Amino acid sequence: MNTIARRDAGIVVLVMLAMALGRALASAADGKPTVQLPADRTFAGAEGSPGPVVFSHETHVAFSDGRCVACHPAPFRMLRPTGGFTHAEMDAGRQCGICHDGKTARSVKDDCDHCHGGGS
Amino acid sequence: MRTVGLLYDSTRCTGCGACTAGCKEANDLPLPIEERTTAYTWTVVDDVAGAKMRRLCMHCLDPTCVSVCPVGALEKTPAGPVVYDGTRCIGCRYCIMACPFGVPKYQWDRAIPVVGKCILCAGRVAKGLPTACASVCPTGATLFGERDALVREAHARIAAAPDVYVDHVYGLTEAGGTSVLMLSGVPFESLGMKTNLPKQPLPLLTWRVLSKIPSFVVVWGACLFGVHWITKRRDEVRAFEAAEREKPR
Repeated sequence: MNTIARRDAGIVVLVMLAMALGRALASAADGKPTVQLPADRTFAGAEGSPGPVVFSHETHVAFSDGRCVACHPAPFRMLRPTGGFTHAEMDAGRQCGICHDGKTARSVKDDCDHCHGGGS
Repeated sequence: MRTVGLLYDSTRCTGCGACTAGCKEANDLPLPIEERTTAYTWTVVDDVAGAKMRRLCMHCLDPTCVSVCPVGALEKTPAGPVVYDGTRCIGCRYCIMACPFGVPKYQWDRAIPVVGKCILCAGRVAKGLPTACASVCPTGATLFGERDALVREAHARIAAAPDVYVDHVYGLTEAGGTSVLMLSGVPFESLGMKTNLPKQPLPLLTWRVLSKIPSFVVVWGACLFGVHWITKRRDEVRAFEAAEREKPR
């Protein structure tokens, strides 16, 4: 790893730590419990995939009103995380396609970059 | 052997339901997730006027359910979990009546029902893993560990923030003590928890009677046999004397 990359990585870690500390302090200040969401999960994608998909709990919990049971344990397990997502399944209204149906949330059939562009 | 347990801190709980979901998954319990605990939903989080309270088996140190089960289906393991063997259960529901916390639930929808309740993820604990509910809790409201350490942690939290917590560790002495301990910011009775439970293990109440039964059976049996022997002897003597009187002289 060259010096610039190491410096960038260091900055990213510092920013993440500052954000975590900020969240903890803000939480402590308003008396609410500190919620530690699971880390982002990256799905590399099958051959021919336009790119990896990074799933973020942060961007999803707001839509479930903070209720983990909205997505767990079905369709997504917690202890042995569900894998093997396919577009065929999602397009048929299963897995991510349960919400990403074009009505509740953006459809899995539209805008590849939205999911495969590195964010979710 | 170390005795494990849980420390549930109501003030750190958001009621997200991760514990319920993790429990369902770890124990292969069928969906849906019900609002209250059932034979298939072993833990839920209740919202009582904004305060949260988990409902789950308290895993008594000396469980009443174990003491009353006529077929030995329930067992308090040395590690802490109170487990049960569904294949032994005859569905008598005596444990449901006996539990001071109202925990065991019945499979009312089955033709041959048994009870269901939290088993403190005994299988995971035996492998050295924490319970599923503690593993997935995103706020640390449910903490898994050795009971002694959890008791110290609970007292430390109360001492560090006496204005936040009610000065009581629920489960420390209730019904003789439980493996699940609880902290709260509001009185426990307002969260639907029983606070009038005796500090001694409830099985002691029946043990005082049951422990005397073997002696009672032996002594009472001996008494009855003695009465029988005396009565029989009297009849024999009476018959003998009557026969003697009727003998020609």
